[in-house]
Amino acid sequence: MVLDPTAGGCGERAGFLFPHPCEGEGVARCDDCGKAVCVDHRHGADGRDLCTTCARKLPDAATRFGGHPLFLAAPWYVSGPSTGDPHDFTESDGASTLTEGDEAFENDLGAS
Amino acid sequence: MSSPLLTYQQSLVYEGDTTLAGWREDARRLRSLDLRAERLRRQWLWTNVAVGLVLAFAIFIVIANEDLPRGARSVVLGFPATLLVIGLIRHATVKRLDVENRRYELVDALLGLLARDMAKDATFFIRLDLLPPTHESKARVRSERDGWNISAYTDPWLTLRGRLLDDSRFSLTVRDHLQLRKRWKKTARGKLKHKEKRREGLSASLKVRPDEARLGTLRARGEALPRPKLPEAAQVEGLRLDEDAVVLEGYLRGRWAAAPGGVGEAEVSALDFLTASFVGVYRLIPQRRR
Repeated sequence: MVLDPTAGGCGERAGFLFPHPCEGEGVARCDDCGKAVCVDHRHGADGRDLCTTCARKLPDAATRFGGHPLFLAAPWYVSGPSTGDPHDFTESDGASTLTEGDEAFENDLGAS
Repeated sequence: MSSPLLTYQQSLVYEGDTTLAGWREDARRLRSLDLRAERLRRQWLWTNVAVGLVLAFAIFIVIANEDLPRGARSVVLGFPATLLVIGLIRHATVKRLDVENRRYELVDALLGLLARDMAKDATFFIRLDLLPPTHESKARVRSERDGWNISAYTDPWLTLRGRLLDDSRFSLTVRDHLQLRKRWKKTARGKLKHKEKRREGLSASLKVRPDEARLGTLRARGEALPRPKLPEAAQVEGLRLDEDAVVLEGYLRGRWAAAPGGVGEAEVSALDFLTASFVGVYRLIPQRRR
């Protein structure tokens, strides 16, 4: 990592859930906007150092940074609408074992 | 602040107020205790198997030599039998400390995310119950149907309460749901076979209490809250604006793993589920300018 002694305090505000000032020490400058960034807010992309805000704007940010904590709140993170049976296992699951129509599960001895 | 780890080994419940640094240190020790218990459990298991074989051989010797003096019989049988009893007790003791890794791994990963939006010296409350999900205290329903013995367990194993940098407070409760079905079945050949099936799920109740101004803005919108999107295996079970907080209840179907994204076959990611829950609720709350 190349440290930039002139970087100063981190100027990036991106957080996990909401933006807020960062207390980290700047170690580099964003190659796009020139902002000082700390280790956490510094992202490498094709040999360039980017701040989180600029990295989020990359067209392939989802595949590049999809698992990074600072990118989890990005709009492309969520995988899709919820599906499935909401009552599969709820407070009433004890009763659901008595529900008619569940015979396949009751009688299928192959899948234990 | 005394570490919640002090009482953990007796109760297997890690409970109390701590800081992020305190948690990281305790999580490291929890992992170390668990790994040690796993190693000792394996060691005692194989020791007991070996001693059991020796005992079986000793029984054979005693039966084959009827004229063996009574004193010699006692030694030949008594020594391995005593070792086996000690071994079984030791095995049971370390087995108790061999807890589910995925629970503390999930909490550690989640706190790693939340730490980014918490003050470095912030304290939070945590109750992490590492007793087995099938512990007697967690049994909810026991019934029988069509020859199946059915047991349902609900295990509220995690409570997390803290404050974030935007002065909002969060409270998260996570529960494991487990349904076990067991039966003995006679096969066509007349053999008795034991069958066991299980259904699992994880539910989470997340309550976020922003400051009064933002809560007021949210209330003033007066429209139904849009449902957050959760991962495919998860379902929003409830979303409401309480008097002082936004409350999201979700349910994740299937056997869960702590790891994000690419988890093992037939497993779903609890971290993705909890992350999406937090993100989903925060998308509803107006952001505060700092």
